[in-house]
Amino acid sequence: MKMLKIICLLIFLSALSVSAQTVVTGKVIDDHGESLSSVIIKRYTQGHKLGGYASSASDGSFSIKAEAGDSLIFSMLGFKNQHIVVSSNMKPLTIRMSDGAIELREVKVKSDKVHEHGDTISYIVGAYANGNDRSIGDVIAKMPGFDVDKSTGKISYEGKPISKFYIEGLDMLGGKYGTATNTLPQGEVGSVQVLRNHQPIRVLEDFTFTDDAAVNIKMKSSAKTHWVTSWKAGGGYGSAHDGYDKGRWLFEGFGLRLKSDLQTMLTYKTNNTGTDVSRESTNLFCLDELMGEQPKSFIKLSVPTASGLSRERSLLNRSHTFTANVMKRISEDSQINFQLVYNNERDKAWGSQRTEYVLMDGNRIINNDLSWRSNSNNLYALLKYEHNSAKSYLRNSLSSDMTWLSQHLSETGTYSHAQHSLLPVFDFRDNLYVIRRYGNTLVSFYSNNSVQRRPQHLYVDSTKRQNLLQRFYSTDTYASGGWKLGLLSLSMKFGVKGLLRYLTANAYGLPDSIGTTTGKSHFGYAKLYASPQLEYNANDFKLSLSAPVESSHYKYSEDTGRNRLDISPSLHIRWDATSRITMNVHGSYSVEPLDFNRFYGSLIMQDYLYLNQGYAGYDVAKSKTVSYSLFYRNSLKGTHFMGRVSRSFDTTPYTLSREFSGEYIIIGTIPVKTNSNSWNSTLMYQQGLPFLNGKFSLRGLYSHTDSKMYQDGSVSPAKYNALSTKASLYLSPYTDMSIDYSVQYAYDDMLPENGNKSSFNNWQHTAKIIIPAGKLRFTLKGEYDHNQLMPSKYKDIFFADAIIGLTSRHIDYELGLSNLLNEKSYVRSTVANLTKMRSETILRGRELLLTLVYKP
Amino acid sequence: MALMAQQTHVLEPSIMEVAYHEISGKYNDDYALRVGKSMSQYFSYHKLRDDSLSSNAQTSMVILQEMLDEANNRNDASKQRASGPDHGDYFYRSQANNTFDTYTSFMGQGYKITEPMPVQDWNIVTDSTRQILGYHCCMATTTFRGRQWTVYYTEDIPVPLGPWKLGGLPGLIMFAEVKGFITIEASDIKTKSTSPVTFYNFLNKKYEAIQRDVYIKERSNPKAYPKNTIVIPQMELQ
Repeated sequence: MKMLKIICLLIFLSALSVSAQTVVTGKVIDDHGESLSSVIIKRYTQGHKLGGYASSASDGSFSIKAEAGDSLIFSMLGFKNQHIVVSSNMKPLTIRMSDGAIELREVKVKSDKVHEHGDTISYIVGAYANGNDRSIGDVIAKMPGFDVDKSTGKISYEGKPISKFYIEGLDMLGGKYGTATNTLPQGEVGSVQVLRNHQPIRVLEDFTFTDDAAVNIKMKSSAKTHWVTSWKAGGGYGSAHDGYDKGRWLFEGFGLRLKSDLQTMLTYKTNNTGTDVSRESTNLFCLDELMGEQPKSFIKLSVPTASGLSRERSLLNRSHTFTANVMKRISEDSQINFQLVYNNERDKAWGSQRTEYVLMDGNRIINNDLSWRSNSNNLYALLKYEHNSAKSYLRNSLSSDMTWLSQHLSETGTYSHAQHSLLPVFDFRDNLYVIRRYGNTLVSFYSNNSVQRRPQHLYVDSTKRQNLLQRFYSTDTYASGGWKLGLLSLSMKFGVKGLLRYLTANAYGLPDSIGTTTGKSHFGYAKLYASPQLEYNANDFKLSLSAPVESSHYKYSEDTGRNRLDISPSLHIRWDATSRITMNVHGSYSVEPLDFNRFYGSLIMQDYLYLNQGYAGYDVAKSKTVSYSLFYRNSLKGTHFMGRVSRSFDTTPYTLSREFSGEYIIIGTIPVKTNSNSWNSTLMYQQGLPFLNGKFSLRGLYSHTDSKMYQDGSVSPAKYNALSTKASLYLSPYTDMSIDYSVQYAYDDMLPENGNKSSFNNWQHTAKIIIPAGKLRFTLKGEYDHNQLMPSKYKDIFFADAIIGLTSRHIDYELGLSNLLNEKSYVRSTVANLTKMRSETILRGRELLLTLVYKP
Repeated sequence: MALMAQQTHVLEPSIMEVAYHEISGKYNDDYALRVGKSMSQYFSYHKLRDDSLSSNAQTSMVILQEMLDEANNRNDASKQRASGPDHGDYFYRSQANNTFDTYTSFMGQGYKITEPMPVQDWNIVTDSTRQILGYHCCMATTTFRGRQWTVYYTEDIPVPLGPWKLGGLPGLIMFAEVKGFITIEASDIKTKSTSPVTFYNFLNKKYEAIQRDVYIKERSNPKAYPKNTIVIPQMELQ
């Protein structure tokens, strides 16, 4: 130790002697005498070069080697710099730094990708786009903060769906902006602006702070002088069932014309390749408006479909969609908007159905082949007026949605019938939103009213006919708000709802003995509702309690009506026990909404076989549910486990009844209380495997239900079990190459109290291999289904697909070969409601399709 | 098992916030370096947004939807969420205690690593300079925990800080790079109305204390990952 000190001293002395170095020490303090840490001390030599640096410690002390004549600069953000000239033999220094403004030079971003001005951020499209991008949606998806859902064209900014989509400052498309996202060519767009904290309603500007964002598309000035267009086309050939096209095509065109006060956008899309193009023109805002109560579709033909199969394998379509949007600015504050969407879809399907009804005195079997075609025309028109000034806001949108659906279903077999249904739906709605400002008070009113008319008809074999006219009016008006008090938060919604439905039904050709076949009635209700929710957020616990209360008056034309007051409380608790274990407990008591579609007097035909019978009962179903879930994970060992068990007790004042009357089956309701209890459990387990980057996962779902049904006047209880499990294995031998394999097993059974158990086993194996090779990418997919149709009979189906993709500068090519083995049909058996059903569906045949996307 | 579960709380006012854009292979991310008087923090903006949205039942559906979209569209670059080697981590640097805390999360499970303030031995190359965001920057190089770092710092912003665990230079690190692995570049600097340095724990997650070497060893073991996990190389190799 002593030796070391001597050596240190020697070195120190020798350094001194050679370069006259000294060690400057001291302490840095601020104006108040408090020590400052992280102060940067730079030493500049007499030649003004950086000779060294140090920073002050947490107690403000520092030490730095320097030479006499050097200058030391003390700097820290938020303080003025201090200069000291080093002299030999300096005593420990006390450096006092005085506050200074944090002056960073005003920074101009050189990359010019993003500009920010107040709450508006502009993204320069060219900076984000590359040769692979076609539509503006492709580019927006790459901009920071944005997400684009490619199937619908929906844009989200910072996780929230955008509230408005403007083109050149005009809101032309409203919620139906998905087509523009997916087709507007990115090359014509100059920049995309995000208007953050965007309050589309100017009268609210001072009152509410919104974190909604809106998007404004700024076109390049060259794009304003001509029609902006984009094109996609494809063709191919495939084998098909007789009656469906062998040649396959797809085409998409898009045009946009922008003038200062008038904007027009037109699109046309068509295909027969199994793609449902009508999805893009669905409304992307306000989904809850669409989810309100709707009149029931009583007339319903059974379309040949099979569960467990993806839709594009069996959709035999021929679709055309045309959209037009026109937007006109009337004055500085107001604008008018017209939108028109037309869809034409002709679908076909073939298949067979074997339905077995489990009865006390021997089962009844119906075995039919189905040939189905439908032609649907849908016309949507919207006229919107918006007046948006600082004093008041008024928006009124008037829309009509008209559908003409015509279906032909011919069944041959046990019962041969030709059925034809005409199912038009005419829907008109008006949405009014008015806000007025009186000084510091805001008065706002929201009202959504709709009228619907369904003059529908069913023809069976030109001997029987069902005419059914439903008229439907509904209104909903509400307001909501929320408060936060420390760990507690409370939110509240108040509203009024009303509904009125008229129903006129006439059935011809049914035997007189069966019951009333003509009827005319109406049903309505008025509701006052309040829905408070309380949340408490502590460290490990989170508790939330909600209790919607509803006071309703119901009235059916044939009786005196009823008042009800219902409350549906629920409680949820979450506890994070340790970093590895989390538990949740949920309990709820809920009152199901009264089903107004049950109130009618006569029999209504659903198809040649089923007749619906109404029942005027005001009692409602109640459900009590308790559930418990547990999560365990040991992440570093690759173990993840989730288990959930729930028990529910449902009490229904009515029981489903099924009555076999001659060649008809009458589906109705009987006022006998049913308790139906069920168990549900879910399990998920994942484990990493120590070879070839392998992983293994297992999922399971099990449910057990006890329920009752009335058949031919006597009660038939039954127990149902359903199990579904899936195990997957993933291996990745090289980077970017992957092999995926999974096997799925499903088991369903049904045990009627006085009958035999029927059960079905279904297996599905899927495999997928992806091999990338430069600009090319190969994908191979295989699927093997092994479905049990009868106790001793299984059906095997094998699918194989291959896709090759190539990207080039102006054109993208994709060559896809699907259903290589040309499988013709898919079959699966299911059990439900004391019925065993086997359905077979004809598939899209082997198909070769070349698609080109032209990027001008 | 020592457990920490602290709620989100403000630590101290901040005087500056630097945004960094990080590119690592095909992953992109944006980070904040928030600087207070005695402490600073470094975290991903996207991670913060995810955690914040996930803490509420309604808004968490947004995240769930995004994750499903991402998982279902692995080949669609536009659906890929922000990610990178240090994406899930919240870093807190305390000059006063001379400590550096990492709150990390692995497959949803929280771990806290406390270490003495990491120190890099920098080699300043004064004649190699660059302009970043309009600031004059000098190059410096170092080898830190198994990776060769090249950084550019500016003396015009006198804070000895930088992205991730990098710092100790006579000015803010504006750019940092490991060739073939990661690039981090300052994209914005704000000094007005900045958010305070805040301890974030929106999900009220519990953190299990773990030694840095133990964590790195376990985490680099491929069998610890569930199926289909895309394993991103770590910032630290040792």
